[in-house]
Amino acid sequence: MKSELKESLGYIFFKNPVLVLGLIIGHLAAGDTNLQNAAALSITFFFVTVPVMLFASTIGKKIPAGFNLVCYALFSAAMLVPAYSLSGSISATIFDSSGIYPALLAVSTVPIIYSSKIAEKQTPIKAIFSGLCITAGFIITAVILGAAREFLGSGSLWGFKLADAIYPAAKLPFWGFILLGFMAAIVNWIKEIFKKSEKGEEEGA
Amino acid sequence: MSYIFQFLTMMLTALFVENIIFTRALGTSWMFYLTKRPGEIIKYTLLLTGVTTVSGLIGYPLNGILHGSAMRHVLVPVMYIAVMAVVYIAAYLLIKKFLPEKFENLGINLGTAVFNCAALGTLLIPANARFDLITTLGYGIGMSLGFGFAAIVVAYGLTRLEYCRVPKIFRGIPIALIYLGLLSLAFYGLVGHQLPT
Repeated sequence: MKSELKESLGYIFFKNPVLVLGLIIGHLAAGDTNLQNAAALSITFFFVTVPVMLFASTIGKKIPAGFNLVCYALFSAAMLVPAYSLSGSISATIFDSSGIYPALLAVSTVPIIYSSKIAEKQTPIKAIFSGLCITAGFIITAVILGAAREFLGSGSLWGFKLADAIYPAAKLPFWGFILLGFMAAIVNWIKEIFKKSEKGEEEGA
Repeated sequence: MSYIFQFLTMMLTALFVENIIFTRALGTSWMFYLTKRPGEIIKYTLLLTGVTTVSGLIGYPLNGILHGSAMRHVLVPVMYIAVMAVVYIAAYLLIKKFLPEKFENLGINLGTAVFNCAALGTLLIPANARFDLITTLGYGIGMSLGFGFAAIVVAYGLTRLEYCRVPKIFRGIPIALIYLGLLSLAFYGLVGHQLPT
């Protein structure tokens, strides 16, 4: 039980879907250029991941292999409607201004292949918890990247002007790839520190 | 003749100027997956081209109907995913019936070639821009071929990086992303863009 909880919590940081597993990179590199885009992507990610994991843990494992992918894709596509409605209640334009990237999350690797495979082996409660942890990992990455790019690219946060733009090119995809690369390296560095401290504790004991 | 010219122009634009990976960053995760299996890049690119062409043909008239809707930003993607599901089921059943010896091998490739961001993005960009049918098909084929082109370039670079002394914390995903970012920047300049100032 404790190890399962630890494994699920690991999706937030040590098995972060973007920075450690290298999934859903494109949405963030090209689509996450400010905090509003990060919000639209995060809301959509929640709606396409958690319900699909619940679906996979209950009905999905009974669907014949080969057809489950279709069911997950159609189910996550249907989840775009509540995601669009909730995004609209925060700001009328955040879903539309994020371009095609929130909608693309419906067929991204995480909801239809990665997380659904995890959920098929879990009970519904565990699947929901794992889904929430995977979503938390995505949201942390999206918010940090979106805030950094908005501040560097236009000197603002959530549209509020704080300073002059430092580096307008920060909104271009290449900058997103490079920034994500450095964020992934920081995660590796922290993992190394944890590994060393755990090793030290074992040797001390 | 003008249709052929229009088709080829759009195909080359999508292949180089608006490359699916370097400019649009669509299907990046699958491209990284394929760079570890270079032998599958061509097969995957052909499957992607087939899927986007057939789905584009079916979805084109339906997009015209939905485009006037206030919720088109969500209805158009849902419609294209439904079209892709129909294409997947049809291809799945046809391969199972007529090419049973290839079926086992194609199973996962077919699913991932149909349901991925590269395929959906290739359909959504022309749909949102209201391209005509010839332009839509040219764009779709160019984007799909652009995926293969980008995957080959990145796979070659990552193979070379394996022989370099990369700091430990940068090995794996970090260096691959930084390399992709630098390639994307190079491509941005190569096609004639200038960085905003």
